[in-house]
Amino acid sequence: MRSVADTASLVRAGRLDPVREAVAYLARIQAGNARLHGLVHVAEGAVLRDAARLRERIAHGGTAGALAGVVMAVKDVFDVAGLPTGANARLFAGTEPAARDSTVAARLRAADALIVGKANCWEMSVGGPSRDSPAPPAVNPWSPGADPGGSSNGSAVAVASGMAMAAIGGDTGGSVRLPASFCGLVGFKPTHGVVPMDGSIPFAASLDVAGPIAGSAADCALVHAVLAGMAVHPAIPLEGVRIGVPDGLLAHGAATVAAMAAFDAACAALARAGATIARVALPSAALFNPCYFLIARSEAFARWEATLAARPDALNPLTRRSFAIGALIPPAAVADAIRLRAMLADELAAAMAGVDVLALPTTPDEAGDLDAGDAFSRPDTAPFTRPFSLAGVPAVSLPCGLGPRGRPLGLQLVGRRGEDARLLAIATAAEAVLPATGMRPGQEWWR
Amino acid sequence: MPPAKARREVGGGQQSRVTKESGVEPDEAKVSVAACLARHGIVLPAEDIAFLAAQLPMLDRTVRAVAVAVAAGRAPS
Repeated sequence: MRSVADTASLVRAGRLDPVREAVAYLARIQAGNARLHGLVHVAEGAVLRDAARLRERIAHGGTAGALAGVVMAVKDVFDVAGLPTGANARLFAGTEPAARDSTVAARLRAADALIVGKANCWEMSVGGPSRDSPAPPAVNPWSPGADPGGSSNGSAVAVASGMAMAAIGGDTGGSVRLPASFCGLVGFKPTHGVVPMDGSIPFAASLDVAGPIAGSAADCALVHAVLAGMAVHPAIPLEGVRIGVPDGLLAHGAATVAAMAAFDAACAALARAGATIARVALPSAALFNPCYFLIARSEAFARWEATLAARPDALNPLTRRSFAIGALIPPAAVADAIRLRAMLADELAAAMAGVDVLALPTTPDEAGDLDAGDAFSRPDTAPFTRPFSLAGVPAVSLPCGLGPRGRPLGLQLVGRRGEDARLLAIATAAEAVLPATGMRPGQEWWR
Repeated sequence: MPPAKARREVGGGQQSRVTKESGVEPDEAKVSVAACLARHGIVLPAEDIAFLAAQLPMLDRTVRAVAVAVAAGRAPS
């Protein structure tokens, strides 16, 4: 599959027609979206118009951006001018199309990406998977019954099925990394605050970030550089890279034997490439997820309290309960959680002082089935991703193998705060030696 | 208000009022949840109240774990 960088390079050079590129993706959407539910709005006219303008500009010797002609989807919590923003909730049914782009969408457009549509997601980024939301749950291309994870599932499904070359998701506690892992893709959560979140529907503002999902770390690095207004870090060879494994978090995450085997194999591959692997102590590992839970739920309740009071029936039960539980958290506990968060971030920073990155599985297991039962998120949910959301540090999920059911597993690498580009440079070197790089669903059953 | 404390402070009169207004069963945990939400002007279906009431032990444990860590002045080793 052609990379984001190669696509943009070919388009800029006039050797790849962006209109034909857009038409090809629209055809794949036409063929597959009815079964996969990856996109909730398709901007057919707009993407063809944008592609034609880009082609015209290049033909007349004009310059084109870093994402020239790259067909992308954007999670339906970010405003894209001309399309409604719905967060897959009845609450926003009938909403007028956004008058202007969120900063995320504006930066993609400024780099000449072609926004093909809005990606499905769990309702309000929390209430799913559910069949009580406007759009049906997105389906994992790896199996018709498989859950693609969430909350940015449509973004991952669109990329994994070839309906978009890359996509933007939102990540509060793992919502980019989890679906990326479950769909065999790379998902990147940047340092909190690096990418502006204006023009988006929030879940918990002190945790929410926007990040790319794509087929490779190199692709994610290029998209993130555009979103963050930063340069891509030069390649970092794995020789001498120090990788820490936080045993304490692993002990509290209950990873399956298969997930740990894939993780161990990935670490062995990185070590063969010259990285050093060392155990890292994180004494307070058990406290990260309880602390995350109190902060996320209290923030979400504060934001959506008025909605719960005025229009509770405009949210599905999962969303209502996820927001309402914040009302039961005492203010003193919120204050405690805020203090503890600072302590835990310091402890994580100290643990990372002697290593370049941390490594651990992205999820404790491969994807489960849709309609598998209770999806209410508790403190022990997403045990390997939430700690790094709480600390606000960058983290990336790379494909690292398959589970017993033939569904993808992910390796998560975590960087120091602010070292996003460096983390992605290390991840780019890592994916070159991981056995699962570039894997795709075996059959396009959805076409 | 801590969930456990909230439950203790739900008196008979308040229980009757909340039970009547929200339609929840006269169960202490459910009534305390409904009362807490009512203070925010929120009335949810009885199924939601029952679900949230069932989460109170988990929430108590979570709040307590965080409070203990903070009271110790450092994360425990």
